[in-house]
Amino acid sequence: MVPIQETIVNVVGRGVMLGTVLLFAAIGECFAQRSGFMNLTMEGIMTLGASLAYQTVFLTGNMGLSIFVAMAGCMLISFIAVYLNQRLYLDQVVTGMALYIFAFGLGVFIHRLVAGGVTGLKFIEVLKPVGIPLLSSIPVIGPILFNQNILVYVGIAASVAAYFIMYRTHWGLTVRAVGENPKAADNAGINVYMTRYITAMLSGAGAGVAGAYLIVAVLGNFQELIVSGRGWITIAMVIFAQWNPIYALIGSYFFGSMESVAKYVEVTRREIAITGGIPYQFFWMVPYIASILALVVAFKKAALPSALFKIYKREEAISEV
Amino acid sequence: MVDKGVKQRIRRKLEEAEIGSTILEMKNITKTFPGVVADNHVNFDLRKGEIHGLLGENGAGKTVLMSILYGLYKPDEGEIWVCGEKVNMKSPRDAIELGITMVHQRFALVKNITVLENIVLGTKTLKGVFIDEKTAEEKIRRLSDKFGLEIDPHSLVMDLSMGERQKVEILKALYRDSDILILDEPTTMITPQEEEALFETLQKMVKEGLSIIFISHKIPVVLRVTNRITVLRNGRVVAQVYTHETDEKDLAVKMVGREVLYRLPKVEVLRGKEVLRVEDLWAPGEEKGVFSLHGVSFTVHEGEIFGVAGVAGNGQKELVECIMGLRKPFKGKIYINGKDYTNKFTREIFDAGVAWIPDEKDRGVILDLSVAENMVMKTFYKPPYSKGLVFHEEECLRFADKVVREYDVKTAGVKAPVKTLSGGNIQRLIIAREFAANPKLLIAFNPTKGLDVNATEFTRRKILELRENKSAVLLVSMDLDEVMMLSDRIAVMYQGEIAGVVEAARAERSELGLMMTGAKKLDSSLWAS
Ligand SMILES: Nc1ncnc2c1ncn2[C@@H]1O[C@H](COP(=O)(O)OP(=O)(O)O)[C@@H](O)[C@H]1O
Ligand SMILES: [Mg+2]
Repeated sequence: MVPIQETIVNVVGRGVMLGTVLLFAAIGECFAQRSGFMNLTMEGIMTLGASLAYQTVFLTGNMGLSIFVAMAGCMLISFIAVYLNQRLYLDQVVTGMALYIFAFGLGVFIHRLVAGGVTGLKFIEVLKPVGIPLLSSIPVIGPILFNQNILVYVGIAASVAAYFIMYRTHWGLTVRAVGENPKAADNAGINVYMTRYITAMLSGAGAGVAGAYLIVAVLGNFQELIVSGRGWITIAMVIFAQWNPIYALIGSYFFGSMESVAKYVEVTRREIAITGGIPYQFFWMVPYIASILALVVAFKKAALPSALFKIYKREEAISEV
Repeated sequence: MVDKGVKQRIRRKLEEAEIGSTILEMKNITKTFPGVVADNHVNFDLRKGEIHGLLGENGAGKTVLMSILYGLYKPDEGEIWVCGEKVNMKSPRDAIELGITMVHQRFALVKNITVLENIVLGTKTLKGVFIDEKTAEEKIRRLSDKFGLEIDPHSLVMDLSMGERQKVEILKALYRDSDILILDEPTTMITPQEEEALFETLQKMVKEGLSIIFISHKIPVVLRVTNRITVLRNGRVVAQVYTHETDEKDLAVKMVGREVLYRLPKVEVLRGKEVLRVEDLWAPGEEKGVFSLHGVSFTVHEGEIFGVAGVAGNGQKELVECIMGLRKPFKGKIYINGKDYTNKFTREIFDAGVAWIPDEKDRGVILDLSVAENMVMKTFYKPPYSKGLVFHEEECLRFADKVVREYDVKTAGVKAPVKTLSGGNIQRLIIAREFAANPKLLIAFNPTKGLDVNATEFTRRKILELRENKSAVLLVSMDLDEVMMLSDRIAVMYQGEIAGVVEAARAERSELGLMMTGAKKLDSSLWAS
């Protein structure tokens, strides 16, 4: 393999691995936003999920269990968020922000209570790549997509499944209808609130897996700023992806690759040669700048789900059906 | 209600019931909202195979009553019985499963998905885990053919006209094998031709054994299509009659409580000089690259009411917004009394002597402010209300007191917030404010939408009075009868263009209807004078 090609394969391959963090969070968020509920706690619950996963591995050594514990914690916070919004009619943005701060703090607090106080720094061994026979020997694509850890494959499968659920099943149609016109959905006999409860919990579950993935597949250790904006990027990226899980997959890998490029430049210290004197720190900005640009573009062309952020109250809404 | 078995039993009874037997009873239904009793111990019943008219003026409680039947509102009191069994409607799902479907006045469709998706929404048309589009499409086509509801299942709802959307709603009901269909004011959003087609469809449906509740405030329409009529007034049932045993006058007295003048006296007024001139007006639409107005031109003269008819959403809103300075035209000119008022601030346009009655949706008041404050909304910054930076409330109260008496606005006082007023009184307030300065030009946009008969009559009288005082009036209304009753000349808008202008004296309802659907267009040289 020519060196430049090898480098690209390595960097993009790592991008796919890193992008899978966003992907898990994004799939659930696609459904939540599409149904009219934006799970703004994302950054916080991903931190909480990472913390819970780390503590679980620290205490039990069981990686599989750690993912479920993380999911449970994140789903609980998401449930509170959607309950406050759909049942007590509190504003999504306000409750989302409050619970973001709460979940973030809770994650850090639990870490200090359990593992942090004892060990300071203890790395756990992260998941190893498992090559898929035949597929992984395809040139370029093979090593990028098919020589990854097991959760990357789960992510790909999940987003394909999510795509079909969104566009080909009754439940997907229900989600789209509820986010666009809850009155119409209600009139068609759909339980608007239940639909949003489910999508919100789904986005919580996704965030839990994403947080756990950071521990078991990426870093092997918990730090306070472990999520470092990925939650917010997910929220933006989902809009850019037009709530389509396949586009979300592409977007996730794109952002993952940006991160990977920055890392590559940093590690190899070749910034002068490659970038003509631009310090490598600039590359760390790329994902964030890209998400700002993504939002600008997306908001220009996007038709946001009409009922996004809106509270549906039957007896109030009917008079102007 | 969760018991599937009971529901299935009731459905079977509904299907097997004999034509003419009572299948539905609403007993003693009461529903109150803060400050209003929408329905007051109402009894209603439906027989199999009939079209039952529910007649009443705006605010009588028709929609609320049927929303209770459909599970959208919870009644404070009362019972619903279907085929001799008491049922409890917790949500539309319960109603649908019992074979009842409601079509709302302004429809309840998801705009960015297809007709087919809207129809299967909430049903279970499955092939494995996926939606079975093929079976659904076949069923839709079969129903379309049978009931005369042609529609392409794959078009997006947002691309459909109001008449087509109504077809989708009816197909939704048929697709769910409903036995009872509730239609809320089905004739308010569609053209006269579509109305005819709708009535034919309804006849086909009752022949198939369906039963229909037909809500309307239009007496002639109810007389034409129904077998039986229940009249609601102020939330109470005031009469229940067979259609063949009553007539227009009788129903009007029952519905309003007094005799109604269907024709307001209209005196001869000489047309004076030109007041408003709109020249080749283009305006952007909601979507990029789509124009909502395509070169609209017309003039309005002193002592003239220029009516603009058309189905909602054909550029009427954009037209009035451009004239009022609320929307920036892409191209074209607007002259008021010969002066260019294109792209001016709304306040400057008011100062040119323009009055404005907005559409129901943005009724032109701030609900939380008082009657008096709303009364000076257009003039509060000028003497005598303001001198320098100081606002003189006494002046404002004095003025409000005077006009409230003059225009007979019923309110607890001029300091009461406007939200405590009824719709009709809010309208009186707006008219009082707008007419107080003797306007040279009135822009009226759906001025009577949602008003009861009294307020409607009051509004129309005031508009006619203005014409007698040699003011110019631009009347933009979705209510074709209103346009025909008041106007001197009538323009029809279709897809952002004027499809034709006719003298009201020579206007035919059917001809206007054709223009409203784009089926007919007059040569512009015929009216461009
Ligand atoms: N959601 C609501 N909240 C408060 N008042 C309502 C609501 N819906 C209807 N009303 C009031 O109930 C009365 C009856 O309304 P409605 O049934 O819509 O009349 P209509 O006969 O024109 O259909 C009106 O006074 C209306 O203002
Ligand atoms: Mg109504």
